[in-house]
Amino acid sequence: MVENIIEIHNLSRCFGSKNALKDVSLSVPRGTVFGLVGENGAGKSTLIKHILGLWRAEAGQVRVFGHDPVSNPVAVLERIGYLSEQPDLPDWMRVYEYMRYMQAFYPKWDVPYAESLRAQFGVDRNARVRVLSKGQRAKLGLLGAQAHRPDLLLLDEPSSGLDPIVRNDILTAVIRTVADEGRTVFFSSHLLEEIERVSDHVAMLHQGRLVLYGPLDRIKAQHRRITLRFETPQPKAPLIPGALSVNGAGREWTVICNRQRSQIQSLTMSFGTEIVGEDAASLNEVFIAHANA
Amino acid sequence: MPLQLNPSSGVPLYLQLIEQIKHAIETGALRTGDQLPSVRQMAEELMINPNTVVRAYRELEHEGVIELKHGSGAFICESIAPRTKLMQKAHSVVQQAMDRLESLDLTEDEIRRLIENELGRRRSRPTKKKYTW
Amino acid sequence: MQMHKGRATAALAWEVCARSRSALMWLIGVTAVSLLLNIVFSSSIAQGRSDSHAGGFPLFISMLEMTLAGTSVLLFLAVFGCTELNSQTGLMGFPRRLFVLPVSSFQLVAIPAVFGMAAVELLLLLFRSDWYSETNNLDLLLMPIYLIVYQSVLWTLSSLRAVRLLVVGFIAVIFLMLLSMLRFQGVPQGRIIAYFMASGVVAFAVSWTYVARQRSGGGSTSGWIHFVPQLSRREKVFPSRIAAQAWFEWRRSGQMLPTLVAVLLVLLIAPLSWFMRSDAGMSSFILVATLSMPVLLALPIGKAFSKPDLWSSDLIIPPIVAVRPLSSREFVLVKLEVAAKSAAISWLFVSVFLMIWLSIWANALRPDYRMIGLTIFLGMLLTWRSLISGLWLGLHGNPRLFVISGLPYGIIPFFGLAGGLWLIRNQPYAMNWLTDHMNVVLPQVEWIAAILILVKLSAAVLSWWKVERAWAYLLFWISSTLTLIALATRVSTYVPPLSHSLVLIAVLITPLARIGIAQASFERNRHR
Repeated sequence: MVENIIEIHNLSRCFGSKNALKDVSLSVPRGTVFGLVGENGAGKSTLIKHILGLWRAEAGQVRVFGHDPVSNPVAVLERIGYLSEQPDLPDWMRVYEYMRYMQAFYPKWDVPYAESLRAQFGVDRNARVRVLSKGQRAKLGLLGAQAHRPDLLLLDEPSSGLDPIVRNDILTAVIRTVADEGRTVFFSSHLLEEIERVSDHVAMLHQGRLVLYGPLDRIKAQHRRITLRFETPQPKAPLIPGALSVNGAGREWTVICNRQRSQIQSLTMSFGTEIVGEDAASLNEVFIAHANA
Repeated sequence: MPLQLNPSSGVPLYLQLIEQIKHAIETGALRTGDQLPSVRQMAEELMINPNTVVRAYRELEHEGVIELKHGSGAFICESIAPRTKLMQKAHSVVQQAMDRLESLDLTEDEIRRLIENELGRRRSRPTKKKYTW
Repeated sequence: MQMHKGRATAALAWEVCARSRSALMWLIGVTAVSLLLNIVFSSSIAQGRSDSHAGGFPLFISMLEMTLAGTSVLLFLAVFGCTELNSQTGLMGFPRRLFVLPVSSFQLVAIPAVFGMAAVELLLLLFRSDWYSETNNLDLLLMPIYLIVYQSVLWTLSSLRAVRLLVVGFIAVIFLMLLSMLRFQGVPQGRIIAYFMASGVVAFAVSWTYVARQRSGGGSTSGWIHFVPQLSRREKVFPSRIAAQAWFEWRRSGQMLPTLVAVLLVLLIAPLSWFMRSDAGMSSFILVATLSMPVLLALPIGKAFSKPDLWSSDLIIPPIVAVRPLSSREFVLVKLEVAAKSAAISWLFVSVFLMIWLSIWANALRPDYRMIGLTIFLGMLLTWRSLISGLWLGLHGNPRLFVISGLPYGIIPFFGLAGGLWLIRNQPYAMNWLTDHMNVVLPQVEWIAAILILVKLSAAVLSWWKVERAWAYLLFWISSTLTLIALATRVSTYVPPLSHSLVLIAVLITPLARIGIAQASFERNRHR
């Protein structure tokens, strides 16, 4: 059965005068990894909190597993494993107490699996959360999110500020989740190399709006980096309609464009420039181009 | 298997994986009848999405390079031999060209840049010429 | 170098004031009003204080002035506690961010101390009155020392959190007792003064050492004492979500009341009862105090308990709970359950203490055990009620609502105390008036109670209509109300005219509508 685990239609949300989300629509199919990118304050966490039901949809609709997370929180949250930037683990709890506490909420909690994860992460059973390092807390949070084999793994910038080993553990968790039949991952991140590695679909939020949305391969195929050589050195960036961003100096200028290739080609003919190179743009360039556009 | 994937390059990951498996076959690292790692193992080892691995395996199966045996895994087919011969011929062409370029006293970086520029130019051209072997 | 030192001192001094700016404003305001009252109504106040048969206005105004003075003392303590929430430890303690300033630890400790002492002197000078002057102005010398001890306790025992308030209150009582002892002749004044000074010096030294040690990173970050005994240690798996959340809630907020009750019983009431064991009047006062203490403590604790998280100052649901698959009905039930456990264990401590005291060293008391039993039962119910009756406001998550609803907690005890004192002073007069006007008063009370019951029931229907119904609670409400009605009927056989009022009041005691509203509040808070 192929259905969309998350369906968001025309979601908008304001905080006072600030528009955090403007008319966002996206769907996350079952069994895929969905990557959400955007600069700080673009609305990623707000969107994820809407999926969790922590924010009520002011305008538009949010459906997770077909339910509204606001009116039916238990049915939705039971199948979600959530890890946020700050794992919000209570300082006073011990590790084994935390595992015992989490176990009671999720019927699918796998005790041997949780124990093996704990041993693999090297977190002491009797230690209080207070004395754990940031990386260990993230791992404990990841344990709590993973051990009940959730149908949806929801990660909100999980790798920020963590060392590469912990980031590896998080990526492995993502991969393992999807490798099991029918489980889905939705995660937001700044680290584009992670998004590029594992995402099937990508969406980019910029100031609350969705500026990119679709399968990662298609987005990467559509965005081209074209290098132009002008006859005379240009003092400042030439205005090229259809280009998302123009970078360079002197005679050679690099243009990032989104499917506007033919337009640019005809323009450059009239400008008297030569296309000396064309390549697929990296997600990093696409991201920066859209953010500055 | 020492496969190296570059997520940031313009080439989609599944294509890179396909290329690298084909390369492994051509160099002899993988022979006919060898078993490829399972989708899960491959994904975990390379730290990529299992769906990417599935897509690469399906494409390879479509091209006839590997065979997906239900329940057992992916195995290298016997019918890749003609392609290997082609690659060997192409290899000798490249060797000759490289010899000539080196005799012109070009460095490795300059040679690489020439080849990449030429590939870029060809990609941007509307039509491609096909050489027959 | 000297100029820099002066600047640093000035900056730190400014910091002491600026940190709790609003409290400082309130302090100045309340002090000013109190002073004004003192000046304008000085004769009435003097009359109210000294004359035990004083009438309404002098008594009222003197009580008001005293309450304002008391409030200014509390505000003063709040301002000059000089504590801040340290993100590193998560506790309110000495502001660690000051450690990186280019000043010595001595300065860090001395400046708030000096400021505090100067402020104490100012306050004492402003509120000179007969009572204080009898101590030969020694209070001007000795009360500032209390401030040093107060600051020392707040900083060094930060891991005790709110229990620190108990400690400083206890120390304040001791100081006041010693100070009043100085009034009498024959008391070794010199020695007492020496003890005071010594305790001040020791407290300052302790503060200094502590700050210096913390600054260089020494010692454990959680302070010197790990308090809060763990009354539950389970290794077994939780049978349900509610059980897990109840464990969480108990560890987080349920242990507060029993701990405070136990500490008060052991440190204050038990010794007092021993020393006063031959004094019948004091002994009965102590008995009344013991029986009312859990309920009185439950009032402020209940206000904190009504928040989603007792310890945090904001009203949001802690993220670890908000993301759990727990419905609002289950959350509220957990709060009710933990409050009940809290109340039960507190009263268990009280009962045990009473059993020991009354059977062993209560020589002067002839208590009516049935009354005590009844009081314990009612006390448990009222304690539980105090803990949970604010849930519908606290869980809502609106800070303004929370603060406004807390104001009556300050105002009503004051009026209640004033009224109680007036009653005690004018007892025969009050009793006569009451018996004379019984026929008029009682029907009014009955009517008011009946209207309140109607309001309660209709509010209950409205509030329970939309939320997931907690049938277990409704069952509990029915059984508790029936029990109370039976009790009221029994009691009213002794006082027949009050029978109707008592039965009506019995229906009003157990909260009903509030629980439904609490669920709706929680939902609103969770999905903003």
